[in-house]
Amino acid sequence: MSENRSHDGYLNKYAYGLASPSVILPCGSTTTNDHFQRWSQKELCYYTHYGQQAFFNSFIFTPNRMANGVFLNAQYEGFSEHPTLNDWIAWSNELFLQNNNVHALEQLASNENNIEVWITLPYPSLYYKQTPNPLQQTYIHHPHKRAPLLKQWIKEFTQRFYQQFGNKNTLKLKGFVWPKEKLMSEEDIVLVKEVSEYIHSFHLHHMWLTQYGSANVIDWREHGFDVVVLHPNYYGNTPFDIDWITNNTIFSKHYQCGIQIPYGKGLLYDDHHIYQYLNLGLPDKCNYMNNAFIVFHFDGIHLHEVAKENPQLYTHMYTFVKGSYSKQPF
Amino acid sequence: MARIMILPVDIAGQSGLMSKYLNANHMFSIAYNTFPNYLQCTDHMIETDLYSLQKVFHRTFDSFDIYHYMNSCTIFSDQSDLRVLHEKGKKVVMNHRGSDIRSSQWAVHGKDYHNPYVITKNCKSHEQIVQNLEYFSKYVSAAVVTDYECYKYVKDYYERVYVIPQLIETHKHTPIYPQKDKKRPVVLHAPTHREFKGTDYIIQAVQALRPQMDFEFRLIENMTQQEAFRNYQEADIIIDQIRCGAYGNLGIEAMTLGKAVIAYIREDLVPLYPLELPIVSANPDQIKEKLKMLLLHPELRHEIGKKGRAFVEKYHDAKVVMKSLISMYEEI
Repeated sequence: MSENRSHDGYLNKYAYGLASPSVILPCGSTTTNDHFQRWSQKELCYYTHYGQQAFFNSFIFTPNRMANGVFLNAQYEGFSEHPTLNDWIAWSNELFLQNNNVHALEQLASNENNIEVWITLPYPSLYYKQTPNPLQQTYIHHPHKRAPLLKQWIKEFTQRFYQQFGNKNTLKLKGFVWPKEKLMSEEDIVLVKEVSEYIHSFHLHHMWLTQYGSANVIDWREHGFDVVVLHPNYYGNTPFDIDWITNNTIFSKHYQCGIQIPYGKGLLYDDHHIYQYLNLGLPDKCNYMNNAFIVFHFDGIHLHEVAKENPQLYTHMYTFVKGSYSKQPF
Repeated sequence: MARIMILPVDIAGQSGLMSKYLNANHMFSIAYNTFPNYLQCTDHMIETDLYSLQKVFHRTFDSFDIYHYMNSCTIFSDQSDLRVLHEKGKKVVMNHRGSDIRSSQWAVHGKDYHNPYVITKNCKSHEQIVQNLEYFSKYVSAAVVTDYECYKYVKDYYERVYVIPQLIETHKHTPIYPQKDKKRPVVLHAPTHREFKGTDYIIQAVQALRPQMDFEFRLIENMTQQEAFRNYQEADIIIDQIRCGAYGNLGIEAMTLGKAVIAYIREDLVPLYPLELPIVSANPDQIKEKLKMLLLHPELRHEIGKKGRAFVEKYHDAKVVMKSLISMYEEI
């Protein structure tokens, strides 16, 4: 049995010596909110600390909409003009902005609370391959340019990270997250493999956040991923009931995946979905709280808002992350 | 500028083409396909799955004005996305393609038609179709159908039904008309569903004619659209569907390439098509005789091929069809 596999099959909470749970930090504006999210120390302290105690210590920076209105988040591919190489560079610059994002996290890291960082890669879209914009200087989606340009971005980001934080023991770059939840085209499958190898050459990891039921998940090792974390597709207000969480855990145990826990506001979500997730994670249920690699995904809400508006839930999340959560009625 | 999302499935590349031409007409459009198939029509489409669409659905409202659904498919299994969009004041279009509305009860008998040949095993059940249409009609701003066969099935359910034919980029396909002096013509049939298309009857007719006549028969199945087109180019006669009563995508592709096309056109529908429709109508009882007629008359094949090309340029060319589509968007 692989040391990265929990006794019941999940991708182990301590796989590769990584910190878990990790939490996604969306950057930029969204489809529904023009506020341009740059993570400050003031906001991030609600993630890194619960009062004086250490809370989350693994973070995934993910781009949404950039300042020029272009979506870098592949989930919203097609919602705007497609990104150019300049947008990719802007994403890198955004991450290294003084006093924000990675720097803000670094200021919150300490010897007692080391922090791990993951970065979501930009996605070279295939969608516009038939209609390249002649005004673009570089066709990042060109079949022969996708891999070299993505590698170049990884290399430059990594060099920059090590230049700025290389001597810090408290903040570590752990790897990159594949930008697209779906791996459907042959072109992407080939690209992922090449990118995985390249990421590994830096002794970093490659993570894929996808959904239970999506194509090509069972072959994730062949694509070169190290960490695959599945979204169970349960939100509370859709036809998918909580069996989807349970079924996802069965699948994840079999294929050695981790579990995503979404907490959101909006049409899809009911008031109780987060407690369904937390309760089912307990050892006498699906047993992922202490066993599985977990990624928290906050959709349309920030943890500092939870701390202020629903302090009880904030406390319950903290206890879940620390493995001491007990079943809560709702 | 209208912003249009075409979703969640594609039929033979139609969603991608619509999206492409909407963008070319200064609209903003994207097409999602959650049902990839062996035809591999991926141009101008985002391949995804329903899980992803469900996840982003509630984040789309500020980005799109019109949601153009295809083939009675919705994002959520309870079809609640249509209700939500209606409540949000969005325009919703339901584009019926045939198998989603060709009820076993309606396809065989209607007020002015009887079609004993049609097969609906590949279609939704009558009960499901009625349930869908009753639900859709509450929330859908307009329905779109590709021809009057489909129109007759849905007209009583919607206030507004638009007949907007399938589109094809004629300029991308150079016609190769049947040669008048060809000694051994090529007859081709490319079923996506053998029973629905009438493949067995076609094969029987071919077998019956073979001892009498010299021709090549090609049965094209499980090929990508690109590979299939390469075969179509070499054909002289292309047999589309001979049971349903209307021509389909294959008929349009074949006419674009300048081929003589056989398909069954139901008698009540003949006056509803443009007068110059050059398709040779043949049902399973007539296929042998009509195929023989075309095999015996190379000049006729050539002439029909030329008329077919002119027909698609006039009625199915993407630029022509897009005008109707855009007018529809503007009206609803």
